[in-house]
Order: sequence, then structure tokens, then C-alpha cells
Amino acid sequence: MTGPDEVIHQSTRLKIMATLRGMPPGELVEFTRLKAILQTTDGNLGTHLNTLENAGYIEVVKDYAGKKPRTRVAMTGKGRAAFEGHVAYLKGILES
Amino acid sequence: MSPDKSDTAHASGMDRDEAKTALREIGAHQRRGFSMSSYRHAAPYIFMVGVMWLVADLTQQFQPNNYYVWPLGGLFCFLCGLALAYREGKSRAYAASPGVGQYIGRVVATWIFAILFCMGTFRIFAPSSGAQGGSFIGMLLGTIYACMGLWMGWRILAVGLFLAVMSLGGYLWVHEYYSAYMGIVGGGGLILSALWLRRV
Repeated sequence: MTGPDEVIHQSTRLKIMATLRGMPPGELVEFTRLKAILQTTDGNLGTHLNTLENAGYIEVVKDYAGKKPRTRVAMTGKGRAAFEGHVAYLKGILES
Repeated sequence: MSPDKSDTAHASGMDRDEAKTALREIGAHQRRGFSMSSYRHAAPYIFMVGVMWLVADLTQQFQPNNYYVWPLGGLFCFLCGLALAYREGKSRAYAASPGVGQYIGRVVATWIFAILFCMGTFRIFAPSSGAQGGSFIGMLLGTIYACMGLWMGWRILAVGLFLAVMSLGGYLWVHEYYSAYMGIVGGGGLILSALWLRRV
């Protein structure tokens, strides 16, 4: 049985990764949309995204939509593998 | 324990109930992510169809003998669809996903299938009036959206049901101002639906 991923395990980060996993591979989602889905604050979401980015699980793209600054997020391949491993660990707990 | 204080709780100490709760959260958020992505991709196409219906139906109401409005409306949708597909294909070029060529190919194929289906259907069940043909296409499109919504998310299901019901209702109960009704209620409804789909 694979081990748990301590980075993804945290509740908000788990929800972030699950939301990104539900989207097509590499699809970018706006920070504001993610915040609305997770119903969290800018600061809280930003902190957790930093943690996931430092772990290499997500990529954060900052650009402009016209003249408006925009931050978007997508799961990386490493993040996908880590997430799948963590899900397998959780399922293993139920099956054991 | 509040969600953010769980940073100090290690995953290795999880019990079955915690694992079950975590998996439930994962499932719920995966579905939300999938639905959000589906809504975002569907919205521009639905908006485009709504604009076409609004303009074409209102034109038909006041110029009943204008035979060019629907072919031009179809061409508008086809060209807009190509533009949207091109934009979508380019924006996802960073990922292992279909490129521009595939997106455009799918749009063209969708139009070909739709036109051939309608031509074949009208050959078998020839409509005796514009309202019959218009409501059939509205119900067909609505049913397709509703079926897609069963997989993509409840908002698209709702848009499909709305379209199918208003199309049938228009045929059954709205006679004198049928085209205006289809344009304002149908086309306008689709435009508002597209804006709704873009809101999370």
C-alpha cells in the first residue's frame, strides 16, 4: 500500500487537488473560481497554493486578461501522480 | 477540528472514518471541478446559439418572407464555432490535450452530423410549418443539452430542459407571435443561461 502524502492530506489542499483533478489535464482555473468553489479566503487559498506549488504539485500562472491581472492554477503531472497515490492510500485504509 | 488546524494532524494516523470522509470530499470536489470546466467550455457555444436565435427569430417575425435569415444564422454559428474551437485549442496547447486541428475538426463534424440528421428527419417527417421545424430543432437541442447535463452537471441539464419545454410550449400554445416568442424566450433564455453557466 502506498503511503500518505502529507502535503495533500491537509483538508483545503486535498479539496484543491481534487477540484483540479476533476478538470482536463493541464487546464488552468482562475484563482477567483477556485476560491468560490472552496469557499475560502484569498489569504487562506494563497497560502495553500504556495505550499502545493513549492511541492511541485501545481503550476501557478500569472498574466493579464486584457489589462486586468489574473492568476490561474493547474495541476502538474507530479501533482497528479501524488494525488492518485494519496487516493490509493485512502482506499487502502478502507479495504484493509 | 477546524479544517486548517489539521495541518498538524498526520495522514499516517488516519482511521477508516477519516479516510471515508476524505474520499467523499475528494469525490464531491472532483465532480465540482469537472462541472465547472464543462460549464465554462459550453457557455460560449450556448451564448452563440442564443444570439443567433434571438436575431433570426425576431427577423422572421417581422419579415416572414426573409428566406436568408436562417442560412445566414447557421453560417454565423458555424464560423463562431470555428473561432471558439481555434481559441480553445490554442489555449490548451500547453497540455497533453487535443490541439487546434482536432478541436476544429470536431466542430465541423458536429455541424455535418447535425445537418445530416435534420435533413434525414425532415425527409421522413416533413414539417408542414416553420413552427413545426423550429420547435423540433429546439426540442432536439434541448434534449441533447439535457442528456449532456446528466454527465456534465445540473446547470446544463436545466438549460436543456428549459429549451425543450419552451420549444414544445411555443408550438402548442404560441401561434401568432411564435417567432418572437422563440427569439426572446428561447434565444434570450440561452443568452442568460450562458451567463449563468459562467458564474460559479
